[in-house]
Amino acid sequence: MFSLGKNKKDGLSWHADFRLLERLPDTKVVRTSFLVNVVFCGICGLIALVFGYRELTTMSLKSEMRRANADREDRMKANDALLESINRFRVHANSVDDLNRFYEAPFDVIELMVSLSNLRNPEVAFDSIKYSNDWNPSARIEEFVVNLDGKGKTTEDIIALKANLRNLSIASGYDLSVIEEGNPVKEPRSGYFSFRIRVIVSKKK
Amino acid sequence: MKKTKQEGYFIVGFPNSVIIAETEGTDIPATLNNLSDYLNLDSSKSVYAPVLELARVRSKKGFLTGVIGVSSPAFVLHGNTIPSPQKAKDPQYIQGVIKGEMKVTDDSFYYHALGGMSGNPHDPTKDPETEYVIAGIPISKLALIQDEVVINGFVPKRMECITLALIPLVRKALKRLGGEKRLVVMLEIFGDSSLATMMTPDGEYAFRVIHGGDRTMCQAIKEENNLKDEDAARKLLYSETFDLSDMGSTLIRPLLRELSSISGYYEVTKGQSIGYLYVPTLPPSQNWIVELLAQSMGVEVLHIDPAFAASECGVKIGSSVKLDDRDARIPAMIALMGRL
Repeated sequence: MFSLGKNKKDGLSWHADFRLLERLPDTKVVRTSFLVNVVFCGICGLIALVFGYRELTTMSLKSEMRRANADREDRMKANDALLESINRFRVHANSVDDLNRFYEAPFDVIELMVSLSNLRNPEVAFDSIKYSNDWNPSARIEEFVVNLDGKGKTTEDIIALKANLRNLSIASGYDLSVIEEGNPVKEPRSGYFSFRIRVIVSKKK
Repeated sequence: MKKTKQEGYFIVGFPNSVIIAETEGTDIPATLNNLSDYLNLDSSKSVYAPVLELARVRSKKGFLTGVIGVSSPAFVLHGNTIPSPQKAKDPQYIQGVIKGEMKVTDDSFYYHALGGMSGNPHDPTKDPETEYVIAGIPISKLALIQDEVVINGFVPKRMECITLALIPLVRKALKRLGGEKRLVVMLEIFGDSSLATMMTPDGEYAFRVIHGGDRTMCQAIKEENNLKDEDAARKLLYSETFDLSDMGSTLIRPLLRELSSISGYYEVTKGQSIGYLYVPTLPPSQNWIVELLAQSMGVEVLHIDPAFAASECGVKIGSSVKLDDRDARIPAMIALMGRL
């Protein structure tokens, strides 16, 4: 089979090219293949650099996360101890609040109790005395309330108690209300009359 | 920044001389900036040796690049007409011609097949012309030529058979002359042989290798003048001062005999007379041989005006370039640089 020559450039009529290309020396200073390799190596290098940078960043972030976790665990322990301390404090805080409120009264509550006891005659007995201080939102004043539950031999004894309560000396200079909650009820077994009286002391407006 | 124009070189290598054209780039048609001509009468030296000298001066790399046209007896040319358009489409037809009519037996044969009118590559798949020209060369001989060129500091971007490049220009010159005699013989004189290309303006060709060439004439001079070697005879032959006209008929006799024979045969085949002879391989100092040959054949010498050639080929000639109208090799250079 003969070798048919081909013109590299079309349209060059009568200018047939007879070169034997494989015998020609390589005159290119830089081969295209070399340039292609350089470009691809550059791209690969760039990818490796980006990947390496990302790996380093990831490693740095992981290390930071480990440190943060250890720090968090340390702080959690301290926090748990603090929470426990707070809980303990809360348990006692209510009592402290109660005591604070107890002592907020403008008069000596214990002395009030003793005074109340002195105001009854021997035929009247107190079953319970409850003290509380409450905020009256409608009157917008703080009220110091004593609830007296007890028994009297007769209703006259109870009436006399109520009258005495209105002259409570310790409450002088304050507004004083004595309210009997319901009528005295005779207990069939003992024959005494039970009562409930509410004494409200508040600052004068 | 203004880009500097790239230098280009076009070279035509003839059997005993080389012409170097310096151009702007190597695209055709080119602009000729300088033309130099080197005669080589020392058979031990390469005809391309001046190219190497120029490359050493002009190129830091030590070599020049460009286009080269070669006039060499190694090229085998054949032209004919394919009997029918159907046969022209046969992909094996050209190979059959190479084996059959051209009698090429060596498989390592490198060839181009061109349309006879257009000079475009013969392509059986694209409505080929029936007239065709085949130019081929055994790869071993082509390798020798290319290696010689490369060794002498020229790395070709294209290497052409100058015979092919000249065909359209010679046809144009023939058409321009007009007249009844419409056949021309282009004779490339090599060492021991010559190539006669006979053509019509319409793209019909006949190529014949004939015995006798430069060396035949040198041997005749050597014998006639009792010289020691052929190189001395060649120096006499190419001397512009030594008159050899009295032995001219002796010198050209072997060449003329075969040339007359084949041209006579071609005239009979075509039914027309050969009117012109064109010899593109000899320097102006040898024009007397061409004139003697033409006179002996009874034809005229075909003068191709360089300005006409440049105009036809689209080649621009630099203002400082002076072209010798008598030098028949210059149209070959212009044909190489131009586009027809």
